[in-house]
Amino acid sequence: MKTYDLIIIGDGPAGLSAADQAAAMGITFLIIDENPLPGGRIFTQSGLKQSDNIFNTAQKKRLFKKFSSFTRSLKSQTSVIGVFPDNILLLTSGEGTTKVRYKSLIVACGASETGIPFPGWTLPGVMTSGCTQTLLKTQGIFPKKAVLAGTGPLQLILADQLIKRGGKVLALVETGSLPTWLKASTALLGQWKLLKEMGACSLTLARHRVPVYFNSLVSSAHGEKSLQEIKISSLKGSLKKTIKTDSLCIGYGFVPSYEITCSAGAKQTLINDKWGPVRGQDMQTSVEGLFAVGDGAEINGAVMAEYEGAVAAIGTTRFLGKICESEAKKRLSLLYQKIKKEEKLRKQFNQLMKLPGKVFELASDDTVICRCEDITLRDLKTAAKDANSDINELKRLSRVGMGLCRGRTCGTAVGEILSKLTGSPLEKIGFFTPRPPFRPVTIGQLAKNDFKDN
Amino acid sequence: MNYQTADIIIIGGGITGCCLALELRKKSFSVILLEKNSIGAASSGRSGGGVRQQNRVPQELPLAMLSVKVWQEMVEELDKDVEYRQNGNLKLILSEKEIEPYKTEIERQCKAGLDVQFLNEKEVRELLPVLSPNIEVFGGTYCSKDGSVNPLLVTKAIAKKAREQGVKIHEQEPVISLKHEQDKGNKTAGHQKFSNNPHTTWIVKTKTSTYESPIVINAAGVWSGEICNLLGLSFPSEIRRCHIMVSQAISPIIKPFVSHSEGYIRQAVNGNIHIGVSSQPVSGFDTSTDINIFNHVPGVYVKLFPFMEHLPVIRNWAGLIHTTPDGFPIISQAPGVKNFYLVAGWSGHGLCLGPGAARVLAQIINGEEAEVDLDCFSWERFLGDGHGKTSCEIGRLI
Amino acid sequence: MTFERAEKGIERGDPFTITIDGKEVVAYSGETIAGAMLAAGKMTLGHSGQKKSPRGVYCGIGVCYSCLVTIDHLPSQRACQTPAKGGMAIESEKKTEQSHENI
Repeated sequence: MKTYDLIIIGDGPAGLSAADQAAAMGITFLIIDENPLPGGRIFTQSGLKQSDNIFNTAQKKRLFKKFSSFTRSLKSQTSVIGVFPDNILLLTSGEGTTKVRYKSLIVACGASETGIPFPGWTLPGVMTSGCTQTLLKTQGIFPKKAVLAGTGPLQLILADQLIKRGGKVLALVETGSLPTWLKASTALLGQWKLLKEMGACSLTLARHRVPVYFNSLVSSAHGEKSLQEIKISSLKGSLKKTIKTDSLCIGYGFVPSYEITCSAGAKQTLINDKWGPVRGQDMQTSVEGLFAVGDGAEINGAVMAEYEGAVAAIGTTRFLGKICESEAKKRLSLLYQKIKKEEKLRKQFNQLMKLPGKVFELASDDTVICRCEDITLRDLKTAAKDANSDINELKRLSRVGMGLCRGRTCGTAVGEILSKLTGSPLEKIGFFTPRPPFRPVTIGQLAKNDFKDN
Repeated sequence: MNYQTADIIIIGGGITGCCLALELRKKSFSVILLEKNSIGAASSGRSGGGVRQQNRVPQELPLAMLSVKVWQEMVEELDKDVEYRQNGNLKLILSEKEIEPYKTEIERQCKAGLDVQFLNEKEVRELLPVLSPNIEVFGGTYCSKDGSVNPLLVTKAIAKKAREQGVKIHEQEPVISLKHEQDKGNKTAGHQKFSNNPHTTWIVKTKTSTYESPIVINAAGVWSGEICNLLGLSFPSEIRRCHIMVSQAISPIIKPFVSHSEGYIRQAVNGNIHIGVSSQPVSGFDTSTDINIFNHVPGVYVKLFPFMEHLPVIRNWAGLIHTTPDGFPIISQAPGVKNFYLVAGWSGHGLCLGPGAARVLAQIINGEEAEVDLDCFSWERFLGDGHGKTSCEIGRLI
Repeated sequence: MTFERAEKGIERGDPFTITIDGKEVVAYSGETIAGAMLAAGKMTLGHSGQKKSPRGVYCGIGVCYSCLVTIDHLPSQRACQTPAKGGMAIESEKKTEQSHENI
C-alpha cells in the first residue's frame, strides 16, 4: 500500500490552492477528485471551449495556471468510499478499489445544495440553480424560460448568465427583503469588483423587465408527469402569483460535508445550522494531521477556499515536521490577515444566505422528503414518535436516507423537521452516520481490489 | 427521583427482552422494561433477519422449532407488517464431501419432526435461477417454513404491543446500579451468595429513577456481561462484529434465505439484497465498518451470482454478537442467586431464537412446565473448571 | 422543448446520434446524457425507487441520483455524470424497480 505524506481530497479552489502551496513547500502529495477535470463546482469544466468570458474569473485562471505544474499528482474520476483506522482510505475509480495510506489529509471535498422539500419539488423540470448553471457552463444547454427562486445571490448571477445566452427569466423569487439586499450592498462598498458584478446582473434584470419578488418563495410546483406551473407565496403564506412554467431553478444555499472527516474521527459541530468539522484557525480538525478546507468544511465561497487551502498546506508541512512552529506562524500571518478581511465580507454575504424558517415548513404531509426512497412527511411524523429525537433512529424506522444518495439531498431538511416535531435542538438530533461505501460501488468493482498486495 | 415497582424488571429492550415482556404480561405479571438506548437499536435491529430451524446443532433444534411457532403466532398480533416471510432457507452444498454429512443431518432433523429436505442440483437451480451456471453445485438443504423478518421493524412493533398490554417500557435509561436488598453475602469464585429468602427484592437504579421487583431478567445483549458484573457475576463470552452489505433495491430475484460456507444472502421485501459477512472479534462495542469486508467477499458473490457484477452496494451496517465458548446461549437463573435470570450469549441467533426462549422462560417463571428443556443452556455449564465445550465454529453464521 | 442549446458563446464538439427510448437524437461531443436528453425534450428520465413518481435531472452534479437511466442495457446510470458517446442506447426507466437479471 502506498503511503503519501499528504493526500488532498478535492480539486476545487480549496484543493488546488492546497496543492499549489504544498508543492511550493516541497511536499509530495496525491490529489484526488471524482470529476474528470479539475475545478470543483464553481470552476467546473467540460471539454467544451467557452468562446466568451462569462464564466472566467481571474481566480480560475490563476488556479488553473498553477495546477498545470502538478497534474501528475492528480487522480481524477476517483472517489473515496471509506476512511479506516491507521489513516487508510479506500478509493474507487471504475477499475476496482485500492487502498492508500496518508500521513496527513486535507479534505476539500466541497458542498452540495441544500435540499428544501416543498410540494411538487420532485417533478421533472424542477432542478437546483447549481444544476442549471453547471449545464450552462459545461454544455451550453439551458432552459428557454425559467423561474428562478431561492435565497441569495446565486439566482441573480444565474439569471444574468441565462439571459446572456438567450434564455428568458420569467421571475426571480427571493426569500430575503430588499432592505437586506441594499444593506448588504452598502456593506460591500469596499468590494468594488463584487458590487460591479451584482450591479451588472441587476441591470440585466431591469433591462429585460424580469419581475422580482422579495420576501417570497415558491410554495408549490404542479404538473402531471413534469412541471407545468408554480405558485409564489409570501413568507407569511399568502399566494402572490401563479406562473405557468416547465422549468424551475431552486437555490437555497449549500451544505458542507462531514462524511470523510467524521469517519476519520474528527468532531463535528453546527455552523449556521449545518454540520461540519470543528476546526482551529490553522484549519486542523480535532484529529492531528487532518485538515478541512473550503465549502466542504464551512460555506464561505471560492476566495476563502483558496486561502484556507494554503493555510492547511502550511499546517501539513508543520505537522510533517518539515518546518518548525515559528516558521509556520510567519508564513501563515499574511494568510490569516486575508482571511480576516474575507470573513468581514462573508458576514454580509451570509446574511443574504440566511434561510427563513418558513422554508422548512413548506412540505405538506404528502410531500416526498426523501427523494430516493419516496418517504413523505407523513411517514416521518409517524416514525418520529419512536425515534427518541435521534436522526439515525428515524432513519432506521422510516428508511429516510437509505437510498442511493444516502441522505445528502434530504439530510438537512430531515434534521430540521425532526427538530420541529420533537422540540429537540439540532445538536441532539445529530446527522446520518456515515458508513462506507460513501458512493454506490458495484460488487464487481469491489471484487477487483488490491487487498492481497496490501 | 422516580420510583416504580413491578413483579419483574427486564433489563434490555432487544427482541428477547421485548418478547419476554409480552409473554410475562400475558401471564398477568406486572413488568418494567429498561432500555439504555432505543428499543431494538442494538443487535436485534442490526441482525441479518434470518428465522431458521434447519442446520441447527441438535441441542438448539427444539428451541428453534418452538421459536418459529411463536413467530407465526406473534406476527399475527402485531399491528403492522414486520415483513416476516416464510420464503424458505436454502443451504448451498458447494463441496462434494459435504453431501453425506448434510444428508445425515437432514435425517436427524426429520426424525426430530422438522420438514427439511435434500435438494439435488436441478432443484437448487430451479429455486435459485440466478446461481451461476459455472459454479459446481452438489445440492442443497431446504426448509420451506424457514424465512426472515425485517429487524428494523419487528422489535419496535413487539414493544408497542407490550406497551399496549401494560408493560412499562423506559428508554434512554441505562442501569447504573443493581443491588439486592439483603446484600450481605460473601464473594466466592465470582458469585455472591444471597440468602435463601424467596422474597427477594431487587433494587435497580438508573440516573433518574429507582425500580424494585422480586425478579430481574438480564436480557441486555452484548452488555449483559456488564450488568452481571454489577453483582460480581460473570460468564465466559466474546463480542464479535458482523457486517451486512446492502445493495440497491431491485426487482424480486432471490426468494429464499440463502446460506453457504462463506456467508449468507437474502433479498428484503423492499428489494435490497443483503449480503452477510462472517463475524470477527472486536474490541469494545465498536460497530464501525471493518475494511476487510471489502476484501474477498465481493469476489465470492460475483462468482456465485453473475448479475451482481453490476449491482451497486449502497451502504453497509455492522452489529455485535455475543458468543459463548460453545456457541449456545445462557437461558437460566444465576447459579446460587435466586430470581436473577440471564438470557444472553446468543452467538448470533438471538433474533431467531429469542421469541422461543422468552416463551419458555415465562413458563418457568410462572411455575408451568417448560415447553422446551433448557438444561443445555444453563449457566452452570461454565462454572468450575469447565467453560463448556471448546469453541465450536464461533464464527459460523445463521 | 424546455431546454435548448446556446447558439453563441460555446464551441460545440462534433455531432453524433444516440437513441433515447428507440428514437434517434443528435448529441455533441462534450455533452452528458442528461444534457442531450434535456436538449431533446426528454424531461422525465425515470421513476423513483419505490413509488412510481417521475424523476428527472435535479442536482446535475451526481449527488441526488434522481437522473438514473439505463445506458446500453446497464441500469441505474447517472445521466448527469455520463458523457454522451455516439451509438449509445438510452432507455428512461419505466419500471419502478431496477432489474439486473438480464445483464
